[in-house]
Amino acid sequence: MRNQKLYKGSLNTIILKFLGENTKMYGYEITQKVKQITEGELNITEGALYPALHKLEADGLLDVEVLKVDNRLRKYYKLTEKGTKETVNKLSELESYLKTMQAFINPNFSLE
Amino acid sequence: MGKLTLDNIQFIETYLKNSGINFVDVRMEMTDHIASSIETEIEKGDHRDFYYIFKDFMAVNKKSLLKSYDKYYRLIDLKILKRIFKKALSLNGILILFTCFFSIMLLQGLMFKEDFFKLIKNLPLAVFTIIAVIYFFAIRRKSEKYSSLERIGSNLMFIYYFSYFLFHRFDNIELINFNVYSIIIPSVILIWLNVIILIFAFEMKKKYELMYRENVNA
Repeated sequence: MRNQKLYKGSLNTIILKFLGENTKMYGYEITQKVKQITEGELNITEGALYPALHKLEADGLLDVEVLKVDNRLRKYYKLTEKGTKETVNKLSELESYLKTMQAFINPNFSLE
Repeated sequence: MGKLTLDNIQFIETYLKNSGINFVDVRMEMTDHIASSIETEIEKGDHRDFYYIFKDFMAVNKKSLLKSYDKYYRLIDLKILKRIFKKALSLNGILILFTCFFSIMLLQGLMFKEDFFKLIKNLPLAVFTIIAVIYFFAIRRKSEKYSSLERIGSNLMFIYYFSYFLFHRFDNIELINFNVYSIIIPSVILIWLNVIILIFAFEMKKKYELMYRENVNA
């Protein structure tokens, strides 16, 4: 496992990106998707994921829906209109950040 | 497929409740997370009894789950304040503000100054008392504690203490002779906030009932 702190600042962007690609997702599904895509490199703990989801909800970027699934209630998160706009901004910020970092690490490399 | 039984789910819920996760909505989300993790383990080929898989999961993740609950307390207050603020500044909120203001101005015109002073001095606390009774008896559920509904109570308490300390100063009728608005404006604002919080609490109750209770009974 690499340094998790490096990923911490991008957690909201990761969540928003996933929700932008899927109509709705629940907490556990997000952790599994992250694990699958990063091949286990990034492991989002419950202690980090749920506060992030609740904060995004409080900021009006996410909406929730509760459905009964397999004998229990499941809380699904989906992007609001504001959330969809914010996803575009966050991804653009992240892309710009990556370019800057890349320039530091390897000045001859270009993402384009 | 290794789906958990209703008994297993209830076991997880009771465990979380005994661990101090008091809010139904938060507990429900954690229960689903734990149940999904256990089901994944079973699907991967763990054939042990549910209780052994659960025990192992909690041994690794309990600290992280409880940490997320602690953070939730701070977030829920922020969420409530933002929504109350938004509601207060909405068209309906502004209409309520003007209704409160003009009602009090009307009373001022109809009453003797001394009587009006006595009324306005005690009105915010009287309105607060009525709203607190409605909140405790018609909105809040002792058996099912929903996070936002519970935390609204702390906002009401803040208004109560603010009303008490603010209007305790107004013992001297000379103050009202000096500037009547110095007592009318804070009074109107406090009554307005009380009404906004009550409306917000009813809306949250309706939302929770729609989201959780109807699903539970489905």
